[in-house]
Amino acid sequence: MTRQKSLIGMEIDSTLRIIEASQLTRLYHAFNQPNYFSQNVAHTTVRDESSLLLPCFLLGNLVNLPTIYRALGLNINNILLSRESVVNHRALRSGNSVTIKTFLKDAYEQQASSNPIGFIVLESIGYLDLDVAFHCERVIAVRGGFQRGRP
Amino acid sequence: MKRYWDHMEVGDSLPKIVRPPISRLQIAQFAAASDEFSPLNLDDEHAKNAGYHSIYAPGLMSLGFVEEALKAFASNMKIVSLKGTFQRLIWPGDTLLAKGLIVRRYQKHDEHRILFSLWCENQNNDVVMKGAAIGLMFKDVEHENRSNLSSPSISQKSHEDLIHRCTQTISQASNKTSEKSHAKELV
Repeated sequence: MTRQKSLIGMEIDSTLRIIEASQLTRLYHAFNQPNYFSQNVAHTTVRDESSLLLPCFLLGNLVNLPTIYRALGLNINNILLSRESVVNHRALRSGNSVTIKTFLKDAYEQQASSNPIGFIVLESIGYLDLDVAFHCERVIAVRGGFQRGRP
Repeated sequence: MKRYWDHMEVGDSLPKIVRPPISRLQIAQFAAASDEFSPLNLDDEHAKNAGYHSIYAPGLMSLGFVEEALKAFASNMKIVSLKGTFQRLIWPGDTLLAKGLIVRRYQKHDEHRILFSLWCENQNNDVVMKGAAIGLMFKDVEHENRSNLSSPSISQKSHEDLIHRCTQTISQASNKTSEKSHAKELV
């Protein structure tokens, strides 16, 4: 059994993150489009708050990826993001503290032409003030499949 | 622009959003913003040694572009679900075009929902990302004025469904952990 398969169903990581305004401002620069990332737009469109909102697509990245890759014995050179799915129930704003728990939902291999590809399915749950704020499922493809050895 | 559920129809398209060619600077800024510093996205030498012809952009950027298209379509819509499958790598210099259309308009737990099909193409019309999103909308202007919120809120029932799903994952994990420690004790 590979190390990855032995960890299926288990909690891989738990981390506390503070959403920083500077992080969201960098995102605005990366997209070069104020839209809903900018403070001005937040002021005019969000009636109840005046702080920056974290967009949905980035929620999965709040997890502690380096720790997770280490725990699963994955080499970052072989990793490709295959699928991302986010359910977002509470808006996360700059200044919020979020606790994210990540679980290994599945790990399997498939043969693609002559090379195996491993797939890691991670499930993450984000909590804000002890309530579920979001749920994220991420599928990572591992080129060359999983390394065999003692788990 | 504000939009309302009553005026939505299946087949309505999102405004097409074309981004300028993706630059290396933009990829670095995105890495800093998303806190994901993969050398494959930042270091050419490293990417070449790993078998790629240069660095490539994180796939999440394409998901960000379609989320931007959704927000441009209806600023008062709440995106409750967003998913994407990344089908091709995005290279520096690629021009991305975010597209989408409404495939279902329905009500669930007193929420007014819209299901979108979304995709992102590069300059060669290759689909680099295929996805979907569910948005909550106000039924009409009156509904919005009554709620006094910037976007509709999630119903208690929907939230309970999500909590139930999360609780199942956590209880499976704790069972697995106790099974493992029990097995260790036996050894």
